[in-house]
Amino acid sequence: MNAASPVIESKKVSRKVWAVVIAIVAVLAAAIAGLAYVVTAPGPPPRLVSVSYSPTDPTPSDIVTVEVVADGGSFADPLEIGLSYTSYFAGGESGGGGIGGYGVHRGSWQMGPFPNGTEVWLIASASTRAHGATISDEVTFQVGDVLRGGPSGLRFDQVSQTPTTVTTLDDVDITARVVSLSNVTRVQLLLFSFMRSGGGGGGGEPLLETDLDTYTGTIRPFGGPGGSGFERGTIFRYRLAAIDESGNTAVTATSTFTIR
Amino acid sequence: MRTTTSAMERSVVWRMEWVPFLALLTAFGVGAAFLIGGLAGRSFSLYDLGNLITELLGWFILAWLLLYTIVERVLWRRTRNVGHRLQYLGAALLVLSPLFFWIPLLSGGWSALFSPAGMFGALLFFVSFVCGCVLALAGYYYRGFRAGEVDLYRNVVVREGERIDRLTNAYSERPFTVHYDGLPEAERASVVQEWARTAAKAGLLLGHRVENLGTTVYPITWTGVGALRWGTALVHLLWLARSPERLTWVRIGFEGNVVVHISPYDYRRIRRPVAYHVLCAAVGDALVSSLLVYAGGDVPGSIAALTGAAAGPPGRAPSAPTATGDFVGRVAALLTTILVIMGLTSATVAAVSSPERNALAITNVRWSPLNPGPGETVDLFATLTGTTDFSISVDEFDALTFVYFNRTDFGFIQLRHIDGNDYGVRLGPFPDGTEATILLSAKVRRFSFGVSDILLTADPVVIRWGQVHRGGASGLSIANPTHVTNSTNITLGAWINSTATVDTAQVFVGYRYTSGSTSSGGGFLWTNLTPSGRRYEGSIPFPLPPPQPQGFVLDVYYRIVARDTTWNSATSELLRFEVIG
Repeated sequence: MNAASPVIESKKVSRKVWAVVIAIVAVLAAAIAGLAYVVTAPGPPPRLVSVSYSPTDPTPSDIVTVEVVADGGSFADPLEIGLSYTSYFAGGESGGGGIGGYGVHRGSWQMGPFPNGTEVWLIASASTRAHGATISDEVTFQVGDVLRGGPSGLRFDQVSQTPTTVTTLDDVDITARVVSLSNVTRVQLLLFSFMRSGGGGGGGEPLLETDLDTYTGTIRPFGGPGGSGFERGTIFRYRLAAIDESGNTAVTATSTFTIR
Repeated sequence: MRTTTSAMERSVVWRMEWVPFLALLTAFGVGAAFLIGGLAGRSFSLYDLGNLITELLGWFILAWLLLYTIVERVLWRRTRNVGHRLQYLGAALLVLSPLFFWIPLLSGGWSALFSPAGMFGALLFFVSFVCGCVLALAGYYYRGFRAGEVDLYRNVVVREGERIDRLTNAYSERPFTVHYDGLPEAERASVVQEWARTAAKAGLLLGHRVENLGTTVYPITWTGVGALRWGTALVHLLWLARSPERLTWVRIGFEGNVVVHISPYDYRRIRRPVAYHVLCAAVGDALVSSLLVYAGGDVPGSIAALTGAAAGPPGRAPSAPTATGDFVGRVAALLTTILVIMGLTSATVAAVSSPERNALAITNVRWSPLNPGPGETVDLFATLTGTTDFSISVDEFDALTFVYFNRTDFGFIQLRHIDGNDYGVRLGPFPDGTEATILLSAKVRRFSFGVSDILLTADPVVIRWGQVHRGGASGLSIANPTHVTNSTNITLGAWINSTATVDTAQVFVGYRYTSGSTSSGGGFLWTNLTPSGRRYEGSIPFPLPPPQPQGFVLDVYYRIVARDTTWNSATSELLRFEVIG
């Protein structure tokens, strides 16, 4: 009968039991809190570590592989790595893509082969929802022979952007004067946009000759209800490229504006 | 004998555990096969059938878990056995944890589910699911808590009944009396009650009731819930709550009389023929033996007297209750309470704070400058409340724009996405005296349980550039605007009165197809109104482009405007009518 005292035994150890219970609950709460932090924490801001391409001196038969390495993000807010590229003069291919997810810190894209005389302009981006996008410095490479600074003297003169401070409801007019001793055969507006949410777009479109040697084009929203892509905080990078009948080429420096 | 016991044990385990599990697995396998077959063969009917089977199976399992929770809780309340406590806590976690998903999803939509609180609730769901499985399985299988199928049938009735080799008469439900030598008088009541409590905590007795001449104990009953026997479980729940006398019971008299009643359920479960009175004698003998051993101070021995070597391998027999068992039970209860409270709190916070709880509407329509001068542009903005990236797709957001007195163009202008739920459009510049009526409309799709198209329309706004003359001395007014639709045109008109000559009388029409096989498309028209006395009318061709098949619904908005030679001006209200074709 004395052995039949489970209730008594239970009462004897009740304080210890509750101490252990409280300790277990505390540890469990800490573990859940830690897990919750890991699950929901935004993590460090995105950072582009490197952008490289191979082969470094591509020929017209080569497929070019571009590799982007980045870090940042977290489990809850994983890193998104993106690449946009456009080609001009000889080729006209544009494209890109994105890769993302927890643990993804490297992206690889293939492009080409491009025809001889093509110049390729590419920009990489890394973004998280919490911190937005980080954009790489521009990377340009030429495929085969691209004539630059030829005897025709092709060059851009008086490139202007209106308005200079761009708001969400503006259309942006780009005007440029192109000078050459030879006939100018094509002037292109090359454009990349990077939305704060991580999306974007890009490509190239011809500028219209509106006056002697003067070319204009307009940057405006694309797609979506009424046009998206002009959301507040979106970053645009653009440059102009021209080629004349002599095969001489010219490009402007990259210009940037952000939608206010 | 050992071989026979093992065979019995395997038979019970097969019938009570494997058969229900395999039945569920088979049903799931059939459903999954239909799903895969439907996907592979692109057969929607097969896919739907598979979907129906798996969904019904899911609801069946959830309902079964709920019944399991109730049954095990009742058993725990009766016995205080830790095995039953762990089973009911585990089953309760499995039943309640889906609420951590459902509350945000059903009350706040997908954005609630993917909010931080919703994600935390999802995390708690997974933690609760794992904890629920561990608790329930530990309560059922762990040898120290063995409560799953420990019952009179397994440990006493079968053991006694199966060893009776001779054929006897059938069952007749009546109490049967056996005798024992009795207990020392001084210890009778207290010993029986302590024994009953201990046996209950070991999961062998449901409880006891003290009476004048003895103590009635109720051996644990087999509820059938673990083997998916819904009817048996419900009957036992009823008996446990309302009619415990219908269960098997044994009244141990202080003077040596033992009255035994074996319930029809327990008796029928014996596969071999056994006389009722012989079975009662055996059951009474087992219980009294346990009591006497307990009275001798041997608690494990008293437990063994009820379970016995023949009841199964030692690993599957219950053991005497311990303080450790109580500790585990309390920790499990605390853990379950914390998880449920945290999960339900997270789910509620996620649901309440979800932006999808706001009604879908076009709100906060504002423009700048508020009173534009001639030649100025106006930036007009609006907020689409209640929309989220998770469940709402904005297909169209446009401004039906009537510009009059100086211009007649425009129509539908698409708004731009500005930021978040804000959209905007730029109007103008317009010359002095221009007025514009802007009607904002958005077409959105909601993805929740299915897809639904929703058309939102804001109240129209009127913006004037510079000076628009109203209420001048000429008394220009527009009265009784009307519309008449026939198979070839829509005639719109109104009475226009003025002491001066009316030099401008126009009607502006905007329309949108809102339903039908092509539930999209719209357009804008305007026409001059021709006077007939003071009645002005104009017609537009009908049907309106783009061509629509039968069954369309057309929303038409129009506004009649007029100006006279004194530059006094007037407009009708923005009017709407519907054409069903």
